[in-house]
Amino acid sequence: MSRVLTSGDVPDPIDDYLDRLLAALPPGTPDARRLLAEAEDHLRDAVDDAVSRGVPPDDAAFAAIARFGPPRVVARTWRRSRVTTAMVVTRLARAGAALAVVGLLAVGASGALAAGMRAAAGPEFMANNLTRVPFSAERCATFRRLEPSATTCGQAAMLHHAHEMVTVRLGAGAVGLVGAVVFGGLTRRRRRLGHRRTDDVLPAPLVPAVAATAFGLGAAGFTLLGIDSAIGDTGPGQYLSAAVPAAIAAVAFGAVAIRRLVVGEGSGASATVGG
Amino acid sequence: MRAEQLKGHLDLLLLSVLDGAPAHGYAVITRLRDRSGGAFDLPEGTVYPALHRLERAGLVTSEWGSVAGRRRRVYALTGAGATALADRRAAWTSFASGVSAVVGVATP
Repeated sequence: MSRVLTSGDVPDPIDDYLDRLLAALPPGTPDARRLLAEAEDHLRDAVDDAVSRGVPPDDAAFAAIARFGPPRVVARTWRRSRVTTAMVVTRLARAGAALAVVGLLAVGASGALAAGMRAAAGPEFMANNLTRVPFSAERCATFRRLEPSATTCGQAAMLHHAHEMVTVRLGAGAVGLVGAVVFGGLTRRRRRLGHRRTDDVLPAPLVPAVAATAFGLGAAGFTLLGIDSAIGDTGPGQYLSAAVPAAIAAVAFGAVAIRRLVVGEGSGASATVGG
Repeated sequence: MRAEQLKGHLDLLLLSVLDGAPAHGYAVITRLRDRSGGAFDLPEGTVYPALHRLERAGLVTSEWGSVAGRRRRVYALTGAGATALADRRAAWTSFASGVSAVVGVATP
C-alpha cells in the first residue's frame, strides 16, 4: 500500500482526510470503522493507480480526495442511507414539538396585539358580540362581579372576554417561551454531543412547508372571520389579532421552504446520491 | 452528469457492475466510470453508503478478501440481487424506450 510522501511536519493528506471524515460521522455511527477502512483502501488504490501513470504522489492524493467527496457530504450520505422508521418518527416528533412551540409563541404575540388593539380601539373592537348574548342570571352575576365598572351584563361579559383574551393568550405565549428555552437547550445539547443522526431524515423543505401551510390556513381563516365580524360589528379584533402573527409565521416559514426548494439549502441534493 | 441525475438509478448501476463479477469498492467505482465513459461524475465516497444499503437490503453480500495481495471488502450480487437487477433492467429498458420514442432518438 502506498503512503503519500510528505516531508517534515506535513501530515499525509489521506490520513488527514480520514480524520476529517471520522469527525464528520456522528458518534456511535454503526460500521464507521468499516467505512473508514474502505475509504482508506479506496484512496490508496486511487493514488497507486495515478502514481503508476506518472502522477506525483501528493498530486495523486489530493485528486483522489477531491473525487471521493467532502467529508461532510460523505457523512451526510451515510446518515441518509441508514434511515429507519424510528429515526423518521423521532424527527417528526421533534418537528412537531418545534412547531407547537412556535404556535404557542404566535398565540402569545396575538395576545400582545390584542392588548394593543383593546387599548387603541376599545374592548368593543375585541368582543362586541358578547353584548348581544342573553346570559343566564347566574352568569351575569359572575360577570358583574368580575367587571364591577360595567353598567350592563353584556358590557361586563364583553370587558371580561376582552381581558381574558389577552391574559390567556399571553399565558400561552409564556408557556411557549419556556418551551423555546427548553427546546433550544435540548437542541444545543444534542448538537454538542453530536447526536445529529436524525437531522437529515426528512426532506429539508418539508417541515417549513407544512408549517407555512398550517399558519397560512390559520391566517386566512382568522382574516375571513375578522372581515365577517367587522361587517357584523361583533368585535373583529379578536380574530385580526390572531391573523397577523399567523400570517407573519406563514410568510417566514414559506420563505425558508422556498429557499430550500429553490436553492437546495440543507438538502444536499446537489452532491448526494444513494440516500 | 450531475449527481442528482443519478438519484434513483444508482442501485441499478451498482447491481449491474456487480453482475457476474464480484468487486471491491474501488473496482466498482472504476467500472462505473469506465463503462459510462466518465459521464458519472459523483463523489466516489457516496457510493460506499449505497453499497452498504444494498447489502442491508440483501441484494449484495460482502466479505473481506485478499485482492492483489491486499485486504479488501469484496461485494457480490446475491440471488435476490440478481432478481432485483433483472426487474430493474426491464423497468429501465421500458422507461428508456418511452423517453427515446418521445424525444426522437434511437433506443439504446
